[in-house]
Amino acid sequence: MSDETRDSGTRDTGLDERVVRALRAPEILAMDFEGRLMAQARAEIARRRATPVRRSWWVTGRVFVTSPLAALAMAAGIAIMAAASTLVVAKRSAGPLTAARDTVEFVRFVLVDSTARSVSVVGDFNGWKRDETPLIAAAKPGVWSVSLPLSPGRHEYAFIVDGQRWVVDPASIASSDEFGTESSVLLVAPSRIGAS
Amino acid sequence: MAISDRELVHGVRSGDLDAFAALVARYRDAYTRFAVRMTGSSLDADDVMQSVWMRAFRNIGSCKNPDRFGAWLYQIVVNECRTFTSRRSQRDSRFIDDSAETLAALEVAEPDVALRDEIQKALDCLPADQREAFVLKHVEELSYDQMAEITGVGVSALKMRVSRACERLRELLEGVHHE
Repeated sequence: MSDETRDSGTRDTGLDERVVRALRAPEILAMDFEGRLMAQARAEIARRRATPVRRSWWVTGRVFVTSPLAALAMAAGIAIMAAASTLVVAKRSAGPLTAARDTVEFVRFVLVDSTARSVSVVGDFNGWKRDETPLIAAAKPGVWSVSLPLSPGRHEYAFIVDGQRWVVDPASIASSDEFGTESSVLLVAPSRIGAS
Repeated sequence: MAISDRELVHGVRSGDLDAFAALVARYRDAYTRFAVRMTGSSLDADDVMQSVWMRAFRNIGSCKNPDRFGAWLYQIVVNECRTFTSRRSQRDSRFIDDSAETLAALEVAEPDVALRDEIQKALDCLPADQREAFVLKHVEELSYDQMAEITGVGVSALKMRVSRACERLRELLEGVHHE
């Protein structure tokens, strides 16, 4: 610290000494400040670490791009696939499941999580609002899905399980934002299945 | 020997929450006074400092010189206070209510609270950039070089802001501080 900063505030500012003294009176944070802060930090870490746990075989998410009619057929097929204890596999090259639309493609989000009580999807397409797009439980317990019309291009998304658990799709490329929060990347191309 | 800031920063980067807690304990109240003077309220300063620390936690990877963690954190404090100040107009009614409640709660135990309240009101009347410069210079007692590093503002401009702030405060507080 330079000498100039050692000068009396009174002399420098022309203010009364009591004013300067009051201004320089120490301030302390609330007693529970650290507790609240560390709780936030722990929640942040838990959210970051949640992804590997969800890579278990019984928790897997997949994204399909499909036409509305094919979506209906797929919805019926999901229960069969799950009942056969077969993991839902992304049909990355299944041409019949896709159909071009003028400006949007229907994308089916599927999550298999036998422990989930509710699932929603958040992404740039719904403003990352947790309650905006719930997934519907299929007949087979643990299978959740929803179809959404998305414009072609790059989208980022994640699943929210039980209103708080952040689930990154293990089948997609993960992308981290400036704060290190991971989300999944979905590439929607007309007439092509775009999960990457 | 105390663990260095560098070691603690590296610990936080690798996900060590204890290292983060140690940094918080080390710098817990270092910038609180600045935040209180800038926001005008202990409650708002608490909110600002929570944001400051979480921003530091999330962005610890961008702390290029861990040995100077304190200076890096100070920049975040200044920026968060600026953000708060820029939104203050939307929160004016709540701000006044909080101050009134705080004042009422402290009045019995703190005889100087009326003076401090008048001083804070005068500070609040200053433009945000002048208030920031004044508090850094005459409350936190930083040098102009330190202020320039933290705020990103040139020394000449800072001196001008401090000078104008002092002049305005003298006008606002004339007669107030005499018992």
